[in-house]
Amino acid sequence: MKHISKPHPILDGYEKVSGRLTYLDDMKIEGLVHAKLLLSTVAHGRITRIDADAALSQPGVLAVFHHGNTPGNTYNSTIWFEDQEAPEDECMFPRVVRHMGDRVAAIVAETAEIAREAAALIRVEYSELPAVFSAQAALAAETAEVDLVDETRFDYGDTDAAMAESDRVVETTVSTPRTHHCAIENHSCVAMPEKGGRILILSPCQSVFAVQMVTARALGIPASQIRVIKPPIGGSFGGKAEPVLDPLCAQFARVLKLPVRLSFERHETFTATRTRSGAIGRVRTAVSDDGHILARDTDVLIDVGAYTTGGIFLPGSMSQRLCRLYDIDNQRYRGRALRTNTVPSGAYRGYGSPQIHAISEINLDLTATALGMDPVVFRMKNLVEPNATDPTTGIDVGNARVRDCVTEGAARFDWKNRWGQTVGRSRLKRGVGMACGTHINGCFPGFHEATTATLALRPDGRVDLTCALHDLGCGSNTTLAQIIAEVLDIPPTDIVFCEVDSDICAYDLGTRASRMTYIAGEALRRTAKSLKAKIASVAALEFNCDPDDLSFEDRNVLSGHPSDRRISFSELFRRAENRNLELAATETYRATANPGSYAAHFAEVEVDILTGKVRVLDYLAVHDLGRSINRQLVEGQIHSGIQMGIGYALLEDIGVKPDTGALNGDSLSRYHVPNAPEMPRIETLLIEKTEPTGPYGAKAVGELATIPVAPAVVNATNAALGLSLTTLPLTPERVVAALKSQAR
Amino acid sequence: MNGRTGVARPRTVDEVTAATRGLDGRIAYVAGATDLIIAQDGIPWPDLVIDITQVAGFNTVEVSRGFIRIGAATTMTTLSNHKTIGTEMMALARAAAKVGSVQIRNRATIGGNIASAMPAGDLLPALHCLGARIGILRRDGLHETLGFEAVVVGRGETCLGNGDLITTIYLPRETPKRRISAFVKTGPREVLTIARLGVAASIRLNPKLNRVEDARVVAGALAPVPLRMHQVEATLRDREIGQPLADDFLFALSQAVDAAIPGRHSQPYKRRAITGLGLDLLQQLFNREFDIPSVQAEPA
Amino acid sequence: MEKGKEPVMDCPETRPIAPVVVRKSPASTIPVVLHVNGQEHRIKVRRQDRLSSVLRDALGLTGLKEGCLEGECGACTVLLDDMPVNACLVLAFQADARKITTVEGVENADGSLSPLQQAFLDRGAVQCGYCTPGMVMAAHGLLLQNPRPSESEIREGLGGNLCRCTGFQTIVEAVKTVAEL
Repeated sequence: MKHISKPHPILDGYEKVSGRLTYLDDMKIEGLVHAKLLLSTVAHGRITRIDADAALSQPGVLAVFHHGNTPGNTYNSTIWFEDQEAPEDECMFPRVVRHMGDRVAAIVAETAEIAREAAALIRVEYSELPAVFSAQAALAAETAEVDLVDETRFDYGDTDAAMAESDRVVETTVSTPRTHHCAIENHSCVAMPEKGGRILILSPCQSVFAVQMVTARALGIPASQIRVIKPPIGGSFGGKAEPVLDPLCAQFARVLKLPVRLSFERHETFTATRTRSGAIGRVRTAVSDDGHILARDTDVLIDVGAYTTGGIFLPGSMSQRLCRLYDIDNQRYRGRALRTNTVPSGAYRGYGSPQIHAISEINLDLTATALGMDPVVFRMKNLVEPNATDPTTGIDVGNARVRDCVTEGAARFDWKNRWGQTVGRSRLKRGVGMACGTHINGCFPGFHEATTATLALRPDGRVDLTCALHDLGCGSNTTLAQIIAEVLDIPPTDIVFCEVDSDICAYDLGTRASRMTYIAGEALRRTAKSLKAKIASVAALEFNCDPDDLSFEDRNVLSGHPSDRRISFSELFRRAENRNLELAATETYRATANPGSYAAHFAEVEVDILTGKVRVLDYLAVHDLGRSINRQLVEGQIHSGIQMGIGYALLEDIGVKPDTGALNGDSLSRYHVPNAPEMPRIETLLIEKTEPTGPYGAKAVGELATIPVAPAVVNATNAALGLSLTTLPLTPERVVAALKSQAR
Repeated sequence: MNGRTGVARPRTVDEVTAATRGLDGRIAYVAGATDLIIAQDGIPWPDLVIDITQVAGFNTVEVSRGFIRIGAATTMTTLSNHKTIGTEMMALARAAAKVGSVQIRNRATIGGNIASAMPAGDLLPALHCLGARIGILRRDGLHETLGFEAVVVGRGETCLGNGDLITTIYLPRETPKRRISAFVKTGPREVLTIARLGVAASIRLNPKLNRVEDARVVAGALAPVPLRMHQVEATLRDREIGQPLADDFLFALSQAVDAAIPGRHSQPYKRRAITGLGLDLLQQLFNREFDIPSVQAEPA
Repeated sequence: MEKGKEPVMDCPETRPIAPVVVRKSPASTIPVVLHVNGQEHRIKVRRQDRLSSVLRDALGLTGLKEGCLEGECGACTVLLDDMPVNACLVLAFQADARKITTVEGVENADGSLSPLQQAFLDRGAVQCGYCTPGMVMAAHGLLLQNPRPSESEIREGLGGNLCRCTGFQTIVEAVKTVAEL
């Protein structure tokens, strides 16, 4: 193949590395005015008074918005299609604020600086209400405001009987932190009135249609009145999946009839957008002495924060991820998602998967320890085989190659010789650990798991692509261009991507659920094939030959054996015009499967038993991704996932204060993400055994890359110290405390 | 020169004094401004901001026979790269090299680190243990030189009144090789991290270089101000370099934590972490490895 | 509002919109000469203006980004007299008469990429691109001070620049490629 599995630099790399790419905050917009939000300083309270007189009297202040003068329509920011049902508990400005950082009011002014200064002049009074800051507290509390948003259970086989008959049952409780995406670009939005009363929203987002639907609900106007365009985005990782600023910004622009920018600063991005939900999971795993898992019982409590958002899906998502990894005959699961008076949660790279795999994979290692068994050997006795059936959905997991990941990874990592060895001086303890993980490919069998794309030949011989492809910065457009390029035999740079525009592109779910390569990639492959057939039919007329006798080569169509004649794409465009024939194709691809992507990660850590600091020294990531379309981009995804995963294991936590609900980690000086010196060298190994339903055999890697990381690092730390640490992140304080109780 | 702009950029000490004369308002001196910009974010600025980076002598490090003289606006980068500081005042060089990131170190200054007086200020324990004396220009134009403890008096508190300025830091020199010093810190990350705990030590060796004659040991981020640990110093003073010294030293460090923050949430962690820092410190000082203490006495 | 009554919601109406006039900043009074990428700019700044906002807003150099405004993310890194600094933590008036280099000044005169930028592109060190200009400047500054950095010196030198897309490995490799030239 010419373009598949070949390195190709990211398409907009020149613009990015030269500083030319214009992100939303870089755009000069005529007559732009600036909004600033005033955020709640209490965790739960009824707003009794808002005094904005002083703010309004400032020169340059245009308006103050709050619950008294904005629509009170309730909505759920997680929806992504018309009429989607989800509990609606958000509104632009609530009368009762539900977390520190909830939206109280907004100032719009001629400059961002005036807006900022004026916002500080607004006086707000609250009548405070009881608040809870953790899922356990929410479970114990009996208030109307804080409650269960979803409970998902399943139970197959006979878990109790299998447990009773097993040789041993290992129980662990793992707790995962609330974490933040920390995309380097903060949340930002611009809205402006268009002719005819419509509103145009410029939003670095994951789905222009989600922005459109949520904004329409919030404003109480038809979606057709809203147009959304996605400018370049400076990272998202799920953080910009739910529209947070867009409904507000649209409302301000609509009322003021001016273009309005609403941009967050870093602390606002921390306190007033979305986070990864925290989870506490109790797992009981029943095993036989020879290492077979006979039954498992998992109970997860999820803190979704102040609003329901996508929390309704989390318990179900977690159960689906949990059940696709090991072949277990008897399993019971209960997942409960609760609201608390803390910053809301939402999508964040893996949607429940990092939490549930940390919970289950740490338990699994401690089970292996209890058995006195090598965790690799233990896993190999229980991992799923290709084409296993997901017991919760009945879906085929596809060409699942997790066993290859473990086997080949263990060989490459020299696991046999490294595991169980205590290395290092007495103060610095080293250990190795590993974990597996799995993730989905798209939303099938959920609603509308489909992508529609149009490819049209341009007069210059390049190809126009119209499709709502939201590249979040990781280079998905480059990968997708390589797929089209392969079909048509053109350079990937010949594909002209349209801006994602809700007025121009066909409806699409957007970038979510690891669906880009697998779903959008297959849609584009089919569309390209369809265009190729049309090009071939015109060329066949020109050459007066059978289309089957044509071949494609570098922007040309060739005829005959041997190929003696050729015609360029640009010439063909002209000839087709003369014949009144259209060289364009539109295809809709509807997913018919949802295979699993799999991975096994191996880590070596070194722990300073005095300072409690854990360093990751060596890392190997093995991924079953069917086929890598662009290895460099695949590795980029894996490296990034490992960085986030190491942060999840060792450093990152927004740190909800148990007494006030304020965040300890609401700035980059107090929320620590791994920087370059914290990162080990990473090696990647790809298992490319092709997934039959994926484009050129490819399936997803991006979300999965972060999923096994934290349990691999925690398992390595536990191996190094002979401990069973289960509260993430493993801060020096927690490590030292565990070592002290071990010594007693 | 400043009525309209609220800014002065004096080039001499006399101009500094002239700039403040008769001014009835709050004065802020800036050098790197890394702390000021964050501190002033969203609140009204002082009436007069005086940039001291152009004042003659404020950016220079001068080595004379008895002491090293460091201008208040000397950056962390300059300190960490300076040859004599690197050989004779290792604690200061190391502390400066551990501040923030390269970008921060290229702006942040020694005078600013002292004036901010934050418990986690990396230079502070180093300066304290090196016996730094701090030159101050009082607003009325009088010069004064004070010991470290007289300048940094509380969390974010100094002896400086409105309009007073740190001009110079003097570090006494001793016979090289016999005076050695070191600095270590720990925080969530290796680079770009606020110290959770830091320790600096400065010791004088005997002529044969096998015994410690005298020692000063100071902890950072343990108390509102850098904490001189006299009982820890006693474990080093007049001792032969060896494992028994290390054992006593590390034990005393933990006890110093117990004494400094009894019952505090961070006590159990810091009393143990400080032994790790202590080992690193000994290694820096004596360039050899020591064993970790066999028994960790826990507080009751 | 009347006193003595139960507190009621005070809902100020949205004021009628006055025509938007660009308000002159009251104290843009400090004249400075900024030597940016070889060009001299004579402008006036206010004393509280950050160098980052002056470069972006007044001079239109939007390559550098403002990610945190507290010197923690490094996205605003520029060179001041060839040394990397966080432009968000530099007062613009203090940059008077000094040499400033932004990402726009690193590429060759014909718009082609510098070897360092090209290495970033070739090694896959660029993803979303938001940290990239700051990262390029930090790396550029590092190589000016230390043309042959070791891997750990590179990692330390880039410790003030956060990236969430690359895990840093390809960035470190890109810098190494240039260091080995």
